[in-house]
Amino acid sequence: MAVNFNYQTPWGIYPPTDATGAKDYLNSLSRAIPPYVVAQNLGKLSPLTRRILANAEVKPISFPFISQPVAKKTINNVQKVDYQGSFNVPSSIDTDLADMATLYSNLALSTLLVTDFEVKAYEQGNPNVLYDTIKLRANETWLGLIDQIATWLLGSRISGGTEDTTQIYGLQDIIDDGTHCTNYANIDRTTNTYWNSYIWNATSLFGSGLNAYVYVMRALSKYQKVASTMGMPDVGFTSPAVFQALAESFTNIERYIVADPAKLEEIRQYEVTGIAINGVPIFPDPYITTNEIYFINWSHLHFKFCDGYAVVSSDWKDLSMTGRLAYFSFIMFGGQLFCNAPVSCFRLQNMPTATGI
Amino acid sequence: MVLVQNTSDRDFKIVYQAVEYVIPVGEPVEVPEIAAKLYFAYGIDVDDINPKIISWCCERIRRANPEFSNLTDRDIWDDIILKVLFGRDIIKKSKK
Repeated sequence: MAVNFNYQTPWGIYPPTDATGAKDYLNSLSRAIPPYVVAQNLGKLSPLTRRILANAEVKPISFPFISQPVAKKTINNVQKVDYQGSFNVPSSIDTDLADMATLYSNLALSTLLVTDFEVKAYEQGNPNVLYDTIKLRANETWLGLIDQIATWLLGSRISGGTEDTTQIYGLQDIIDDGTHCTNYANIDRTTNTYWNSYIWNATSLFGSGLNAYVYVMRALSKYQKVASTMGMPDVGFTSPAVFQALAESFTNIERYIVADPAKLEEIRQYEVTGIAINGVPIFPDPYITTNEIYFINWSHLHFKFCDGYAVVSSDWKDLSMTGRLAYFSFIMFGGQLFCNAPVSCFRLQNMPTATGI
Repeated sequence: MVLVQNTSDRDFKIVYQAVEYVIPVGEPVEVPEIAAKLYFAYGIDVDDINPKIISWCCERIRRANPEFSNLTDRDIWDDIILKVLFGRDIIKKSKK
């Protein structure tokens, strides 16, 4: 005789399952965060990174790299026509098509591992808990991610002579004259001179003892003379100490005049005020630690996110198989910073700094 | 690495990936090949060396040596860069 154990649906007080307790709570904290939201939060840390990410585009995953031919030289094949209507026929084509360089840049993917424990959620049931530790931990994880992104974007993927091709390019790689990043985006900077950015030493080039803003003016004029084919840079970013020295280099009344004309767009009531010099606003960014100003042309510097990896977090994975009543989640960040004309940006180094900053 | 010898009348330095290489007068020293290419156009075919390559070599020399800031491209190219001999030339010279 078959025994039918008919348990039926249990009812009463349920023990926690993987659908309740910590995981349920963690799910409420785990969201796919659009890059724009990341960018909003970045403002408090790095205005430059915020600007880059806020204007980022998303590329489909089926094209996990950026590839495009780049401009190399000016072409002047003008033939003057006389009144007989005659002109000289060029003996050869003016451009070596085989010599057209192509920028190639892979999209880098990064993950962050996040873990959280059931006991923490359990603690949250205590009415005497002062603050939500899990929520705090989630917040700290995002801040950590933001800090990492800012460090990568404003730094370099070359360290100690070794290039980490799994990391995104940083501004120090892109705005370079080849002495740091010799081969940027698969184009050699030694022979392809158009692929270099100017880097100037303020005091040795323009003389010492000048007002800080004068160095900027002279650099912009020099840039206009030697490399403004791509237009003038839109903006400059520098360290807080250089920014302060720039501000102090104006007299009181001048400082009042220049203090307000240029701002990054307002996001969540947060704004960064810049100082405009010769029409180019300059902003401070704490992630720039050297005494230099990065002049950037936004028409030629872009960040591309990889579709599906534009700062998303995975669902929570159960760690009980490893003997822990805990969960972890991946935060995925995939994309690439690239510039299709490094000469459109430049750096002004060895700027005066304000002491004590 | 490539052996270079400075036969100009002044010491100078080059900087490559944050490492500084001093090039003293008369004494052969080794520098990375890419650095030699960046600063002295080493390994670039003579026919391919155009005014822009010359200009960028000079630009880099100036940046690594602030005291040369006021020298023209021509001064730096003729008096410094062209006075740098590379491995093979140094050996030839010593054989003579």
